[in-house]
Amino acid sequence: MLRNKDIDSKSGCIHTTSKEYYRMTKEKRPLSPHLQVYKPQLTSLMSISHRATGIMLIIGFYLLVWFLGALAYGPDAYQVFSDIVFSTIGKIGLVGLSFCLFYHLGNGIRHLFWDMGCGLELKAVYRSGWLVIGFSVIATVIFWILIGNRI
Amino acid sequence: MEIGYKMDYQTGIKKAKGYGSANEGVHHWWMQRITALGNIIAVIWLISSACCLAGSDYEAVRAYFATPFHASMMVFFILNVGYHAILGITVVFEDYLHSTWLKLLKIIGTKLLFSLLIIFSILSVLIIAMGR
Repeated sequence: MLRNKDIDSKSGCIHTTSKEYYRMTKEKRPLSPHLQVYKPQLTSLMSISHRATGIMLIIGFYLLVWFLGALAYGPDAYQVFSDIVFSTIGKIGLVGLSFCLFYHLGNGIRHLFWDMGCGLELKAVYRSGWLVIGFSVIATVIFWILIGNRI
Repeated sequence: MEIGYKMDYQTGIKKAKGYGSANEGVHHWWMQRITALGNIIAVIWLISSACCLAGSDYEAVRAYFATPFHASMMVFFILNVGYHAILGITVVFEDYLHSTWLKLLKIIGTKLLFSLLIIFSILSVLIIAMGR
């Protein structure tokens, strides 16, 4: 906290020799982009979700590597793979992973349009944002209606 | 270099070589976009394959990926998505890790791990396609 004696009564300047002030400015400075004070917006949430789903999809990549390895090693290895991945918990994970895939696909295409300079107006950004969310939910539901009863 | 006399934006090597930019500054960004385009095709293929194969037994799944088209698509998927993933995770590490050595270690480690996984996957596809 700043005390009265730290502030020059005439000029209103802060005495830079104050240790307390030094600590405040050097150590307690909030870092940009001030996530703790910003109201979450569709744009910012979708931006960080793109990164988060991308990281989740790395788990999907590991699963694919395991799948191919199991196929190459033989029926026993494949049995272990399918027992774990297609178990109830595994299926819940797969539903989440498929949502991440559809979201990252849709939002990635949104990013590609932005890179070409299309749809950068605020209204268009919100419209494409809701479109991507709608697409990823609907695609996930349709995908699991198609394959859900078979695995 | 005389500091405070004149703003100089050229680096020493630039002046020495006189070539200008090497035009590789946006290479990472550009490859991320190129692989993203390839990923659209790869993911559509993977999703349609999953729809075809769901519930199939080992022999059927193996026979599916043993055909030249699907084996090729799987290798394409692994290379394209693998490269895209390496680029993506490198950016994440660059943004969130602030210790230079930790950053370097994680980035190099990830690249080595992914290289290994990509090689393993491609060899697996070859074994599936050609039989053992």
